[in-house]
Amino acid sequence: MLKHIKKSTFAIVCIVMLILLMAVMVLGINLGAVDLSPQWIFKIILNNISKREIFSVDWENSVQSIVWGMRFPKVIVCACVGAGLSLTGILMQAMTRNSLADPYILGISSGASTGATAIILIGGAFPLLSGISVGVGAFAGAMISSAIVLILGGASGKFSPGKLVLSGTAVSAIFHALTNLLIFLSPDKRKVNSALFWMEGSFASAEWEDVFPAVATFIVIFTIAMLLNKSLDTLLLGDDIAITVGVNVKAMKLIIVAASSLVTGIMVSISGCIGFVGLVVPHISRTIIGTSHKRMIPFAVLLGAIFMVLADMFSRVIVAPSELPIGVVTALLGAPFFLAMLKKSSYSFSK
Amino acid sequence: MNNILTTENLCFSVGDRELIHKISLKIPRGSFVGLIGPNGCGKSTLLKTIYRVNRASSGTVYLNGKAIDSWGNREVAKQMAVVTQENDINFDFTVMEMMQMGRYAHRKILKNYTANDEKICKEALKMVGMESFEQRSFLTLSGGEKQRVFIASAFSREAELIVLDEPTNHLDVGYQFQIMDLMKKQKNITVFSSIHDMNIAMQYCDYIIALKKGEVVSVGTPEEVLTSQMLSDLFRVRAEIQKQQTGQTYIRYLGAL
Repeated sequence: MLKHIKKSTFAIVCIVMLILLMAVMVLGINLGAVDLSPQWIFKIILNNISKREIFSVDWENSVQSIVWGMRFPKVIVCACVGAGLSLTGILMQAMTRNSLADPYILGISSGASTGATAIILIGGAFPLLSGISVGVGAFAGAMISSAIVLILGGASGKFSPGKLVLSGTAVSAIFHALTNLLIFLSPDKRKVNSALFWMEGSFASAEWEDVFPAVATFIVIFTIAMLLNKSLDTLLLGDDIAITVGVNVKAMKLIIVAASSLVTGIMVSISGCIGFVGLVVPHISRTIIGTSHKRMIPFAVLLGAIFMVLADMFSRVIVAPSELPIGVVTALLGAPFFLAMLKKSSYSFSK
Repeated sequence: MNNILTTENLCFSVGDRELIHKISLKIPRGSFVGLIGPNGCGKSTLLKTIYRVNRASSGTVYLNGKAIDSWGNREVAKQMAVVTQENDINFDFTVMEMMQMGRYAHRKILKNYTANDEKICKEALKMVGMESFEQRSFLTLSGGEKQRVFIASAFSREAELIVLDEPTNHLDVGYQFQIMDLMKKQKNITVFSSIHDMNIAMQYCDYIIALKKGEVVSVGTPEEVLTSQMLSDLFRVRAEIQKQQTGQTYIRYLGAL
């Protein structure tokens, strides 16, 4: 669609996407039990960011605390998680040369959620673990599960699509079971509710203290991915070609495993397991903007952020006033998409 | 330094099975060297060990007199352009994007491809007659067109040595000759290629290396290596070597042994 556009046109596309993202973020802040005017939202955000009263305060204090204290951080986290998960999908797909690779399908999200749950539920029992934050637990879980999947799915040297997805399914099942076991064995039923949330994903509890890790992780990984965009391109042509054009394939793969485990770990520790974003967003981006990572990464990141904010709004509207786990929404949208991709011959298992 | 590439006792094994055994060879600068042998004799394994997709279990490859492992992939890529055999690509790039990736090693680290890179890519595409395909999607090309893009990409790397792993696989006769002609025409380039068709080997090669069961069984000029005895040893086929009045030699196959 927009595959052969000029540099300047691509810049315009990105600006339009950025404006769209800001618009849906304002809509996301606006949506909720308390009705707010979009005008207030702008004014409150600008006042708080500049730490001055650019606009005279014509709203109540409660509005200020709802917008700045609750809904604004939530929507920022939401956009970062959407962008981060899309980026992880892109990285894993480049490494495995398989457009079905995604942290959720490969079981890495489940590993992260097991790590997070373990820290929450039993971390207190072991003095050694008590100092470890939930994010570190999630990162460790993500590392362990990606190591298992990559060793199983790529043992023969090549990641065959069938083997990779099947190992992902198995690993995902194992870690889901472990998480369930931890929850079941936990004596503290109050903590169980909070653990349940890792399994389906939710932004309900996202707050200011989540903003920094989400934004920082996203910026770090986005920068790394953009710096390595040419190497990522060559990885899609296969190891043989990548090596012979001069890429250090081993180093690239190490960077990708570490980076995607880090993003998945941090994102899962903030929002729980949210599936299919890393699968759907890169795929749509490739069809629209082309395969070359230099353009595909910024496009997919913006699209992922927009998609996640919209999905979050959807999850809050559909069963209002209660909130659906966002993982349910993305799975309902993403799983049929996954099936459609499987049906296409180019992703056949026989290859 | 008359040899651009030499190997010394090169071995590669998978598990206990040794696929190539103590291979020592010399590729003279500026020559066209063919690698022949029956299916499964280790041609691709040897080439892959040379271009470092396989890690040698023992022995050394020297490129321009220096052990290849003392160089990084980028330095190697600038001296040795490779057309690999595995070309199963599922992701859709344009022909120009594919070509630019061939300039990876020439690009400054973390920088974009330059206008000069693009110019070199265009010239290389012109050499293989693919200049009008620049903006086409690579996946929509035919097998022969894809292979010509890979050959163009090898030219664009401005390397002294081009290694070809079964370059004429899946190509019809016309393209097989076209690609070999193109290689032969290049000045100041050394070509090392595995070859399936013995008549093509006879016609284009300065030297031929014959492999059987992972070992070198014969090295020499085409006339020296391609004898009826060698062909029957290697391929279990009865063949006559016929010398034409024009001076050209060709192989006539009579049937299986």
